[in-house]
Amino acid sequence: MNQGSVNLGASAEAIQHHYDVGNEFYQLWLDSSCTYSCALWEGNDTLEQAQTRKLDYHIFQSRAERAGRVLDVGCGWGSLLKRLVQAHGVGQAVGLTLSEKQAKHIIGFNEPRITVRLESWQDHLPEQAYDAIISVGAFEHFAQSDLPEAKKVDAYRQFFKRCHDWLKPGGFISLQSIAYENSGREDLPEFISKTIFPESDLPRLAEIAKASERLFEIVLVRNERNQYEKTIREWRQRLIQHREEAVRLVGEETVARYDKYLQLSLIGFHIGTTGLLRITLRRVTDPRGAFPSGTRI
Amino acid sequence: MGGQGSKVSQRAPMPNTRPVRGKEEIEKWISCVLMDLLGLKAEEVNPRTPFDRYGLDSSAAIGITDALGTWMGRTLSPTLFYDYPTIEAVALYLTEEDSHTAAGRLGSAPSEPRLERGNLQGA
Repeated sequence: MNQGSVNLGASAEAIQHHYDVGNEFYQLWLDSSCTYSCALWEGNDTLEQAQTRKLDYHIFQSRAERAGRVLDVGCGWGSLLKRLVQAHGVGQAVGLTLSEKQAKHIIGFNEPRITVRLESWQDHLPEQAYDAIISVGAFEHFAQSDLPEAKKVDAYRQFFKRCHDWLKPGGFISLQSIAYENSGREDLPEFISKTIFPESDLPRLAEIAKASERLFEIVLVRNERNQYEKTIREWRQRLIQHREEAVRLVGEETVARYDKYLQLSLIGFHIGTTGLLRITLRRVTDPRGAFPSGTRI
Repeated sequence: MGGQGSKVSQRAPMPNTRPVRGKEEIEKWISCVLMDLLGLKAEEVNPRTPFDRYGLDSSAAIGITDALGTWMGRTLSPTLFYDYPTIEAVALYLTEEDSHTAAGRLGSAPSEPRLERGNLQGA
């Protein structure tokens, strides 16, 4: 039951095309928590440690520790939800995903403090306000590839408006997303935009800033593509190591496709065509002029 | 120059022996592949011309790097052609890496290119 807004992001089918290839397949090459986003590497971290460090980073940045209710937009296979309730004393963690297999996997945790909903943020109607919102590796799907610039910023602004509605005063968002750096939509290989991640366009930092203006204050930005390069090298090494098993699970064509996509992504982060943003945003208590006069917030 | 036999005997024992390729051999291999792939004539391929001048895109670079790795019997980083952006630079890097391995020196794994340029610094 959405509020009349058109979906400007990837459809459920487009999301499932990538993320529902098979949980077992992903488990072969992602870390043991199945966290499918850029890790946060320090020192001699293993991939597992770097992923945990990333989760903790977002939990800390969003002030979610020991919070009552936290929302995870694009919750993947639930590693953040788990970390919130099991390591940081969060009362209720709600995750949104459009992937049926991911939702099923999370339900299988049988963790009463975790709720997963198979729905887009556009359709989400929370029962109560959230103390914190985290979104890691989902923003890349919030705008379709063929949107004109203004509509794209509009799509992002819708997201920030909803987050503003849902958050308690003083609440924070911690956001992580791949972004265009020394490139634009025209540079994205068709192989990626048609075959791997259909209906998804990357944001630019400037678009995120524009879209969140006067709804949120951007208090911190980290842009660290070398971290994603390192993460992907790890994933690819694991995929190659388990190639036979991967082929048995999903077939040669799919494995070759994923290997190519990992390599192309790795190059992008290596040479700077894409970046990796980690952004902390603080909710503006009384947005001035953000809404037409007379609009109730 | 010593033949392949003497080079192999100087190496530290390795789980898989792999062919030793000289600089010129590597340059010739890459040149042939580029000619085939991009429909170029021999005189259009120069070991010092940057790869992007040939219109080599990232998909093609990945394909060539993968085939090069197979031919050399080693795993190569997909970023190889970006860190060593000419035929000559790739050949030099690969032959230097091989001689380092032969001398038993420790360092970055063969698949990790040495980032000697400053343009890849980031947070």
